[in-house]
Amino acid sequence: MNLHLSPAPHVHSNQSTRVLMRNVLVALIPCVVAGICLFGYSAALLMLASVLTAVVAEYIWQRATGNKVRVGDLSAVVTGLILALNLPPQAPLWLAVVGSAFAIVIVKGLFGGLGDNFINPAMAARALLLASWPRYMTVWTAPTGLNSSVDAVSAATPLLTPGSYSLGQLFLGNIPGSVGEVCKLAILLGLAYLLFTHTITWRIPAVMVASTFVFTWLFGKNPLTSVLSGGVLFAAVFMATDYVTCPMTAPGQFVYAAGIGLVIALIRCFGGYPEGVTYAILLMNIAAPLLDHVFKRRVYGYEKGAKVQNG
Amino acid sequence: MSDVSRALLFLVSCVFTQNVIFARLLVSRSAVESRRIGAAAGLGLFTAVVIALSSVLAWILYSWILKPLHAESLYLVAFVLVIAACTQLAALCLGKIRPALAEGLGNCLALVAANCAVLGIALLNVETGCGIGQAFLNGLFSGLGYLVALVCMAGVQERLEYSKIPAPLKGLPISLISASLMALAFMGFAGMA
Amino acid sequence: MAEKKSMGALLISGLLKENPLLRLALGLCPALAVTTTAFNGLGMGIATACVLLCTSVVVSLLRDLLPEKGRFVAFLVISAAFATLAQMVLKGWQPALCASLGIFVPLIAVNCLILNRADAFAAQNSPAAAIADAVGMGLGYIVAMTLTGAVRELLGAGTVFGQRVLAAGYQPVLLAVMPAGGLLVVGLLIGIANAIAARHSGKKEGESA
Repeated sequence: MNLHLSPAPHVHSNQSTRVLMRNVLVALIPCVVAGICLFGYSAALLMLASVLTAVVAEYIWQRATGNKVRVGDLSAVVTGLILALNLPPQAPLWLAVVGSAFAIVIVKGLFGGLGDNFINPAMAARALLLASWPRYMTVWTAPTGLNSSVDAVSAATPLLTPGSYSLGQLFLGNIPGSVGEVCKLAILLGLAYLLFTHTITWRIPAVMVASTFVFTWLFGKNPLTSVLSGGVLFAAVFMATDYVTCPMTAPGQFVYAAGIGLVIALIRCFGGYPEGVTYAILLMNIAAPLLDHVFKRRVYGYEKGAKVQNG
Repeated sequence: MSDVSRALLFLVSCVFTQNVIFARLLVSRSAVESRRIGAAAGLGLFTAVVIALSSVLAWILYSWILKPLHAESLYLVAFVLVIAACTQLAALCLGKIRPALAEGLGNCLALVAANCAVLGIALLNVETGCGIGQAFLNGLFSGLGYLVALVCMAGVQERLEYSKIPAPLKGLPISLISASLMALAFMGFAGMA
Repeated sequence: MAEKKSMGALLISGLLKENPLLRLALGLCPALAVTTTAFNGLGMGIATACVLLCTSVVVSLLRDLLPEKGRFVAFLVISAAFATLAQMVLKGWQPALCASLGIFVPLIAVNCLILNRADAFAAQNSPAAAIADAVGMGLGYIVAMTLTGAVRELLGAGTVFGQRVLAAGYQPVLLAVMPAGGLLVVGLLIGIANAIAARHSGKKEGESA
């Protein structure tokens, strides 16, 4: 039996992509506002540069390759914004520009555009920036607030100095970190909106957070602090749920989300990087087609061990 | 640190941070050709067995025969012959155990003798001057890393089957570019071992 | 071979139309691994080309003696012998380069460029033709390796052959000299070569039509 299955998302019209992306953008508003309030106008400039580059790069790429220009589907805006929210607030603007262009052209464009990239563009771009310019990607500053006349003071992230910040600080975001990830309240508001509009389901975020909680606890860290520090919550809501790069089936998504949590815990507790969220998402993106392969068989009622010849 | 945890760290290093494909770049043509997940698992397992087998045999040949005879300069020719023999042996075994798989992989099996991952691991053992235990583990874990890399790449290839990749990039170029992004992800375990 | 190419045509086709790395994707492993600088790429290219030339000549001379069955192993042994020689020469002549190329010098023994040319060309052609083919392919490989090395060095350090090209304020893309960068640069270069070839053949068809 030959079944031709195309990978998710089965999004065919520009319009439905646009609606989904608009919902994501609305859900990101609290994080954007929180980021600007906490880190000042430099964070706003960073987001602006990243989004503008993403849109321009998408436009130029689609024109140059003779494709229909689909900048209106807002996906480039989302990619650019998510990348900026994952950068340190004091990152130079060119860093956002380079990362954004890499995400749109190399990670997405070369593979055929939206829906064809196998790995999350914003996360791959962040990994590129971290590998190439660690000096700029690991400078963390304490929030200065809107009043930018105060010079930013560099500070250690809670990931390096656990216990130096209270749970309340961790929750409201009065801590050093990436622009979008620090304020957990804003992220939860975004999550509520995405759930309310049925843009995402609870499965991936819940399983991923639970898995991070359990594994960091097993490896001997304070699980609550672990979940609330770094980018765990932001990634669980906005990156792990990316339609394009997560598995299609429910059991696949369970394993995928649990795997992200496990990799985060492994990298944080035993690895060389203080934060493992980026790599955890990338690694499980790579595993996603395999998870689909494993779980599709059972779903379509093949006998166990029978030779599957799909495609 | 106990031996077990040292071995575990070595496993992580061989599979992820020092992956034979994504980090050591011992990439032969057959590693980046697109194939189904099942075929990739078959070829990956076969290559892994050859890597493990020849890693130990090449170490024994070098340390116990060539070195006492002061014939180290012959090591390359000797390794190539050992690997060719290991490949033949493994192909014979596979033909007996799983004739259908052996037939499906066909010419790919013979080419494993010229796979740079196999010779590369044997050479690395000599270069680092490690003991037989580490040579054995290096072969075993690096082979596992090869299997993981091949299966991951096949999964991505299957997923890209219906995507609108620009014509000049179809085939090998996009395989290399996807491997590059995977290499980026595999760096995440850096510092663990 | 159905049509005998002239010596000159063999030389030229290896450089451009059938460039071993960029068009035929032969000899990938060193092209990905050691091309972190233009100099390394050049050195590796020359070492490989020399082993290719010697192996091709010997295979061509022995072409009637080699048994059909064990031919592949014979190719491997011949190229391994010359790779050993190349390693000794390189160690004495350019010890620093030899050290930075590491295991990739002995790995020339299983370089599929050499095995492919031995199998597809030298084993069926006269030594003179084999020399022309090996020189063309070897030069093409050297050029492609140096180009790859130059691109990676330019991005990853802002220099080419150690000479500063980009302004001192340039923030190097360290990724370009990491393994992931090697895979990306070689993939993109092969893609660009494909695009140029497609445009070229399209033009030719248009002219003849």
